[in-house]
Amino acid sequence: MSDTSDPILRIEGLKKYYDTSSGFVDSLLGRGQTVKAVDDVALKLHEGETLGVVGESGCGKTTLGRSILRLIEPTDGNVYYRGEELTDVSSTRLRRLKTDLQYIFQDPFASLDPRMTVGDIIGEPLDVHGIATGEERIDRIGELLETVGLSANYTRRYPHEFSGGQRQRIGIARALAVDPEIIVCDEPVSALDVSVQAQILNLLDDLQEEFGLSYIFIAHDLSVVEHISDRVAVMYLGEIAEVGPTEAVFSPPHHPYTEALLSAIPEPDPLWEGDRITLSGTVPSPIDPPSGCRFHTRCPRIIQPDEFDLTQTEWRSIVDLKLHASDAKSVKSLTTTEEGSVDIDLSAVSNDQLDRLVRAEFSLPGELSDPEAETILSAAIDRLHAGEIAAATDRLGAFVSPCERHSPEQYRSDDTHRIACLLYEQGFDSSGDSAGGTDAVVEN
Amino acid sequence: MALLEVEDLTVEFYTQEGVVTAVDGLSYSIERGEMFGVVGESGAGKSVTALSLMRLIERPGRITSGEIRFKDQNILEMTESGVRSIRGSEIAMVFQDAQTALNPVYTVGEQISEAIRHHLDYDDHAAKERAIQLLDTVNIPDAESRYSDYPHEFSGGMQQRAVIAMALSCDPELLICDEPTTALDVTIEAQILAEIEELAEEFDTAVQLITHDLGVIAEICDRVMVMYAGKPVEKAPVEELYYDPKHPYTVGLMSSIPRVGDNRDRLQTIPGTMPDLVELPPGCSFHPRCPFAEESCSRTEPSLTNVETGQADHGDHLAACLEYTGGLTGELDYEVVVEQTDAVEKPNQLGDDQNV
Repeated sequence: MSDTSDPILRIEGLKKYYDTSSGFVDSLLGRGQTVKAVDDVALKLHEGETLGVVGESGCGKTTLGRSILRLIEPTDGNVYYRGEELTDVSSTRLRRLKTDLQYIFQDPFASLDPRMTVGDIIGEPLDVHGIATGEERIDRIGELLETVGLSANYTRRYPHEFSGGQRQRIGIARALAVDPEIIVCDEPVSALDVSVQAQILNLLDDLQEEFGLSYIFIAHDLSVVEHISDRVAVMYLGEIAEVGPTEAVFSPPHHPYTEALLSAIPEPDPLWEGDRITLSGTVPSPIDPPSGCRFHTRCPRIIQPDEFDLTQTEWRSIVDLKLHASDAKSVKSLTTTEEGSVDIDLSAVSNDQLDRLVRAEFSLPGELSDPEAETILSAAIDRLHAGEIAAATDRLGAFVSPCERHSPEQYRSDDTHRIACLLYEQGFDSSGDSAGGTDAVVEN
Repeated sequence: MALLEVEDLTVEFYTQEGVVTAVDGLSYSIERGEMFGVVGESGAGKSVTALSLMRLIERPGRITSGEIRFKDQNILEMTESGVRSIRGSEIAMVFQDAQTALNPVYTVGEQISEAIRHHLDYDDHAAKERAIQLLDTVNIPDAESRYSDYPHEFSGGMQQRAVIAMALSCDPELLICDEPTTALDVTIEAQILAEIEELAEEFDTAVQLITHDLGVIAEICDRVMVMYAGKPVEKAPVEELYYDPKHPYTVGLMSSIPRVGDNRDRLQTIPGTMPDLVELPPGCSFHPRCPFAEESCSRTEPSLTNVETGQADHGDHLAACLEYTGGLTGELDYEVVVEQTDAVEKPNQLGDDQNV
């Protein structure tokens, strides 16, 4: 892999939006909302390399993989395969190109037609592309089965006669039938047992060496991706958070999201005493993704603006309170639930007590370390006591992180390691962790 | 007296292909407040074991022999109503797939309070209050308004939390978790595991955690049992199992996990697949896949033996391999490497070099 050579596959500004409106009437009345499953993704794949794509469920990994091969039509953006633009070509040409671009599916139980024999499943791409007929076809099928470690005598059997690992091998043989250049592997091992998973990973490795394949390897399991990939792209909410050589991305991790993902892997070592970073909440809805950096709602290292001087935990909790307040329906949802408090009439409690309940819910200390921040917080809780959530939200609006305002810089394509995080951008100071932190003031 | 004692449990399924012995002569015990892990691949009999504890095996399955003593009472000999009063209140279960474990037409809160009303005799109001508190304990934000949400309005992680809240609702003494985090993302998995551990401690509940993931076991368990083809192959305290595994299957399982930060080009694999449970190989079920197998392995079936003394089924660290009864001529030749990589002294690799 070298960055000077032309990539075999180049993805630019790829977008896939879905519309939530269900039918004609909805779309007529404009009731639909847009789900941004993949939003402006740029990636490159070099010949013979494996590019891993990781992320939590719902981050758009599979949608990305499928829109690259136009298994689903992308909304916008370009995919170039050896200089030829895939998003533009006619369907006849696309079909021809599919001999070079193949896909391995996640579920080995659902991706094989139960009523076709293994021979026909693997032979189908040969027929469709007119690659081999008659005797030659039979030979080729046998050869492919042996390549993936199955017996050539299996051609007349049906998928249900095979175990999960064997079925995944059949899926791989089918992808190999047309002698492809690039294979997009969508969670190829996540449905398999560990011992079988290792067999399949080794097989993919061997095949890559033998046939010079390039893989886009989509998975949620970081240790698998780390094992097989030359480069890794970490996705969050439809965007690439970080991309770079595996080593550079993982050791040590740079992007706070990568760091959190890595630290969450259960370590098969009972004496391992690492600091586990627990992310609050789940991935926000892609219908209305957070402003600025999409990870700011959960990021443990969210940047503090210059005017405050709080500890990182305090700052994180305050932002949590602010985010919750902005979509809270009642004051009650902002207070802690404790013994006997379920039925408390919040309009009857004293200001102090409400103050305590709110702080307990967001694990805020009795008094913030920054007096100015404390004034704003108390004022906001006062408003909550008066039952005016909107007014309280307004007060809390004074706490603004640069992460909410600024989208992390779009990466330049010539860098090998790109991190979409303000901590690594010039001009955004943070508590010493920043790579290029200067004292420059946040413009606005 | 242990909280739970399972003795010689055998569960069979009568299928068209023949009799499947899903669990074969299994014995183990769990102490009060203990975290007991059961690990194995699909088809090892882990879930069937869990279901037998609650006597939930349905046709064509049948518990053909054995005893399950919970607080010295044999569950298998209880009346149906006796079992019902234990199920959900003294032994509770968290299933793998939270979405199917919850009834889609009732609100989440109602499903939790139902158990509380039934087992603890609370009135509607008190049950609701307790349910809300439980939802809050398992970290569901805004528990009060979430109480009246339906399961589909919860995310996957929240559904699993709700199921855990339900399981804890009657302060069970034994909590069976069957792959509680398999369907979840790593970040959510970490949260749920931390919660199970914390809550078990808080309520002093014993936990039987079933999983295929050795990482999850290492994280929270005290003792572990490794199962293969319906039988236990190794039982050990968690640290011994990871640093000094005694059964070739355990060794194979550990070395086939890819680890972050290890630079092996190829993963060690266990050749072949789990045998067909209708027709188990003679002798040791693992011998066709075992790199150290000898002729005697196909003739003699090993039983669980103390790895130090060679005595049958007695002691802390047991393994079912002929090696420990002197039945092998060769040696189990493998090495456990615990590498200290970073400056942080994080044992980053547990690669096993098998020199076969």
